[in-house]
Amino acid sequence: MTNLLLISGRAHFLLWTLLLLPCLTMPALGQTIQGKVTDAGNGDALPGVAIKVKGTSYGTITDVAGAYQLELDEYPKAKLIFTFLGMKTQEVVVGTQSRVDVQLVSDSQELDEVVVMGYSAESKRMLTTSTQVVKSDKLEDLAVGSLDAALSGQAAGVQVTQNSGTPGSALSVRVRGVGSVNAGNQPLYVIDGIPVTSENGSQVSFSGQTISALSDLNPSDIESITMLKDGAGAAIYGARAANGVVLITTKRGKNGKDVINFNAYYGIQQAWKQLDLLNKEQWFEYKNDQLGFEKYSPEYIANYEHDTDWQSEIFQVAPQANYDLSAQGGNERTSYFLSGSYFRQDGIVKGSAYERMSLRLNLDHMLSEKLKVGSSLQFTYSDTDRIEGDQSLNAPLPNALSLPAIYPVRNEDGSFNEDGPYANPVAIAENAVNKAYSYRGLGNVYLDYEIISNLNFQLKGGFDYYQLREHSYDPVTTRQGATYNGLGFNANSQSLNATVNATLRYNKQWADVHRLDVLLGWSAEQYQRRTNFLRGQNFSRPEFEYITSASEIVAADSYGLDRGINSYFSKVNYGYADRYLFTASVRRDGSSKFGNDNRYGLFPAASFAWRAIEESFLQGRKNLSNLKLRVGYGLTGNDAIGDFRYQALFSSGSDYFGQPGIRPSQLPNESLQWETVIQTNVGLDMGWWNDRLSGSFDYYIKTTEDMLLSRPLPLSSGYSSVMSNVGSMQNKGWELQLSYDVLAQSKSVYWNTSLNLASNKNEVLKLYNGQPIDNIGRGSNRIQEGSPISVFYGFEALGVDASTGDMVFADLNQDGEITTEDRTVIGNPHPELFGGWNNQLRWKGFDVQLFFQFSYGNDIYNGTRVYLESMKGADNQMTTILDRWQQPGDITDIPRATANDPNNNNRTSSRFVEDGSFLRLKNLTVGYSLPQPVLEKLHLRKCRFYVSGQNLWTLTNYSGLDPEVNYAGDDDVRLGTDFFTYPNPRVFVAGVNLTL
Amino acid sequence: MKSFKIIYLFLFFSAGLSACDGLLDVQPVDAVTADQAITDAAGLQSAMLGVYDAFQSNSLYGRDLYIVGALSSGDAERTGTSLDYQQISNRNILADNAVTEGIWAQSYTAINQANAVIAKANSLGNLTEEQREQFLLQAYGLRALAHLNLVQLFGAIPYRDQPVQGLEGLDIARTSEAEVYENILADLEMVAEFSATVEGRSFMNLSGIMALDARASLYYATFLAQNGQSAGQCISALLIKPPLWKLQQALI
Repeated sequence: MTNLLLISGRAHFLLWTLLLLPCLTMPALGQTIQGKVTDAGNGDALPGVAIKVKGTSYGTITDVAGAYQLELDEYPKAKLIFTFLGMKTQEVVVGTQSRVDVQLVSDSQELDEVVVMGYSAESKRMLTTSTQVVKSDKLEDLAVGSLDAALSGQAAGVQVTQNSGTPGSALSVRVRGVGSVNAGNQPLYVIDGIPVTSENGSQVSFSGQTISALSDLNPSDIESITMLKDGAGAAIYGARAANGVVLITTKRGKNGKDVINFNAYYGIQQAWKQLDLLNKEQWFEYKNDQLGFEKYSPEYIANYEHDTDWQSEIFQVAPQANYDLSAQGGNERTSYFLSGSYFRQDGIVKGSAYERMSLRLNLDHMLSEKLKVGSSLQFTYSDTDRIEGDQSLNAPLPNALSLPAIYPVRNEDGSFNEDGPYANPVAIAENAVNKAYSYRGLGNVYLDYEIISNLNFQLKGGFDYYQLREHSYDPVTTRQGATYNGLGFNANSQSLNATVNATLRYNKQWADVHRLDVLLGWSAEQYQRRTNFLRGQNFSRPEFEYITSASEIVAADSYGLDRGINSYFSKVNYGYADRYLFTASVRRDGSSKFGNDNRYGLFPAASFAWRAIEESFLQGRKNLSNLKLRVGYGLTGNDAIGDFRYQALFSSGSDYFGQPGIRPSQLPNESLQWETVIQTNVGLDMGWWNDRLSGSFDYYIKTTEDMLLSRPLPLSSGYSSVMSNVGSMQNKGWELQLSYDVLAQSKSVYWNTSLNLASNKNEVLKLYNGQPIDNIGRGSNRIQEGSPISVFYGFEALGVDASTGDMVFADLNQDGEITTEDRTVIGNPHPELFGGWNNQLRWKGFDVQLFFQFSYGNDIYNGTRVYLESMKGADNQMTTILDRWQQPGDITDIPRATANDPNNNNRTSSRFVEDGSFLRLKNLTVGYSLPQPVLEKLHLRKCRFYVSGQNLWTLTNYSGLDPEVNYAGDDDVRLGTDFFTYPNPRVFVAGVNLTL
Repeated sequence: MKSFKIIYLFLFFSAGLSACDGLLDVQPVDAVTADQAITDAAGLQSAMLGVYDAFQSNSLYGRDLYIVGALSSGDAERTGTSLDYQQISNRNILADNAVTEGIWAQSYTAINQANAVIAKANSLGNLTEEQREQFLLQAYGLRALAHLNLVQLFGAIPYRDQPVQGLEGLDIARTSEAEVYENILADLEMVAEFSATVEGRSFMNLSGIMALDARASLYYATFLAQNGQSAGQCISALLIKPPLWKLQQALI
């Protein structure tokens, strides 16, 4: 009997239930059947398997040895049904044999898994929508700081771009393409049922990379992530679900022994690539050429003593470390999960770093058999050292790349040299103070009440408190600080999002074939943000950083913002014979942002799935283990349209000589509403050889209607634009997910390989009056009908004229002149194909993970080369200019060096558009777990050592610092452009996982 | 018991359903709707200050109006990374130059604000005649200044004399330079007749109007001369205007 205690809790429960069923006494004579039930996979005996005569309540269970015995006198031609959790049910017709041995085949664990959907959970087998789950084991060994970075390459159709290597910065997550120009493209993030703030709360401009509110969430607390990708799945979130929904559940305790986990790693990061820039000699020679006369003689050059490699001065090998400790456990009534963690990442560019500490307690308690209460609470503190990005003359990396080698870092007296055209980057990195502190509290409290069996009521209240305190100070020892005798900023931003959800859930099964699940719900949210901001100048001493020491308060500001959402929703799931599954949902969302004519929006959805594998005509197939066809249609909305945009407003802040003024700031639009995304999805799930090979394929068409566009107005009206729902955009694409257990036969080696692949085609269908939106950002992105959003638009460069050394641009309209009419689409920042390929191997105690991420067909506008190959002004240059045109007859693709560039050789053109495709070994981890006997001696349940690397190898033709790049951070329309952007580091760590 | 629980639930739901509609009624903290903004002299004064503030923009007197002239003429040299300034410096300005667009857009923003003040000053019933004249003098003066900068830099321009309140009728044709100058001078002459005064050096007052009139007249004279009318004819046309200003004999 002791063996029975080791089987799972649920099997245990099943066992007792069966024993309590009334059963007839077994007749003493007649047909007796005996047999043994084993696991088909490994031959082990299976105790606790339920055996029932079909159509009756007569049966038994197998004993510890897997053996059973049944008297079947009263049941001629009996059919025996063998069921066991985790195994496929089998039916055996009993003929005249007296012994029936059965091998039960393992049911693919995945299909019985419960997947968290919006406000409810469903088993994966019964899903009718395109939903992907990423479990914590896939996220565990990635040495990344935030959960969006962990999603990179994991889910088909979800494109995660690490815009830069700036510690703590926001990544771009796009589910099935870019759907909006003005209303935001981030998916909705929901943690344990409560939507969280994921916007940028920073008030101090760092030009480009923004702080991410998601980086406060500790990835090691995550149990699983569900991505709702299609309209039908996401529609339950209504007006915020147009860009997909990322549902995150955190780890919870469970009934059982206390388990303590300790994970730690430590490692280093480095810049995996540097640009080839001119050294001292090359610089002087180039300068002589550019100026047109020999300003620097060979003796001067030879005797000149400074030759600074600025990249090696500004890049550093930076440590990264993560420690987390958690305890989980519980009994039948109460369970808990408690964790604490510490993460620190120094930046590979000096002056940048990110540090985070977080604490979490998840508690569940059954007050009675029907009433369960619980809470999930997290508190996080983070501290970021920020550095300015591009578009600023006080940024460490851009300045380091632009300063010629002839300037030393320090003068002879030790002070920083400031003779160069740009501020000394090392001085900025070491002396400028740019801190951002975040204080985050996230959590919810819930009550779950079973009114009657099958009718369940849940009430959940949650909050997300986010405070960002920014403290910046440039002392006189930096060039910027010297201009003002000390420049200080202090800004505070506090936001609180409170949510209440109430749901009523009813489920019923009858006649063994019908399953019905009904959900009714209400949700309300209130958001408040309050900010203040100070700028002070003229400080008494360089060490004094706080505004109290500034003699001038140059700017002081405070502001508030409120929002509200009120929603009602309902969802119905119906399944017939587990074969025909229907889901329908509807949500009515009201938001304070919508105009009075359109306060509430309605978002319906419907989906259908056919589990063809259960059909009798497919029962015989031995190889096919799963076949499911899915079709779905849904409407979702995007409400990130800005606040109060529908009103005719006069705003304050137009002050003059100390007197307060107002100005007309906005033209009215009472019919302003959310953007609607209509999505149709067709999907196929298949499995072969008992799901040894499993895959799914989805095809979707996603159309954004009522797209909010800043309808351009003639500037002579005094307004540049008014927001109206006038545009339309479409994304069409497919996703493929495959998983294969390569060495299923082998008992000693396990190798699972999985591939996710997606292709998305975006097209802007309608803009106001067909008017394109032009000249967006440093890469000159453009939005025009008939093209994907944000294509690069500029002149087509045909090469260098061998007789003049100037660039030749295509005269597309054949009018004999090169004017702005000759511009055209010169590149596309969106990939044709992207995805990831993951391999997990296990052999004896070793485990290996090999994970590749790739993107194919995307272009990058190399804005860095616009300056570093311009050959004008005082910037340092790349060594590619050594091949420049120097005299008539030279054939090259680099034009001549000229101080003024009258031909505008460095204008926006295809000269700077490069292929940004890449294949990257995103993660390679090799681990070793101590064997059982050693563990027992050490009183540990698990002890694993590992070494891991991120971004170890990159294959790309891109000439810049990193092909995963966007200078504008997580921007909606400025895409695919590099402008002196902080590159992603290569990371090496070593770590340990201990379980007690 | 069971039925009680269900009743409580429905009560709860219906309470929730009605209570939270109020969540949607929020207002901005720093703005008011247009109908509430200007209802008396104090509101009009706030709006008037807003007109002045529009000229402080970096696109106008905050920076670019000074820079474009200096770069084009060679009085200043462009360092740094701005491609827009480089084009102005090279006198090879592309159509997508953000600096020129900024001057155009911001000038019209100021003009629209001035038109709003003019319309309200003329329609509000609770202003004294002196207040009305003060506001009109400043608003017309600033509107003339903005149009003058525009006509000097861009030539024929759309001339705006009504505030924009909706989306109809936004496209208007350009008005010829001569007519723009005439309009400017007509407005300035009208407010020069007012008896109200405006205190403070940083505000448009009669001296400012006169100085602006003089400048506009000189540029108009130059325009006429460049377009075929003889200088003598222009100058004598302008001489009709005393006592606003006197032209030194030596310049005739």
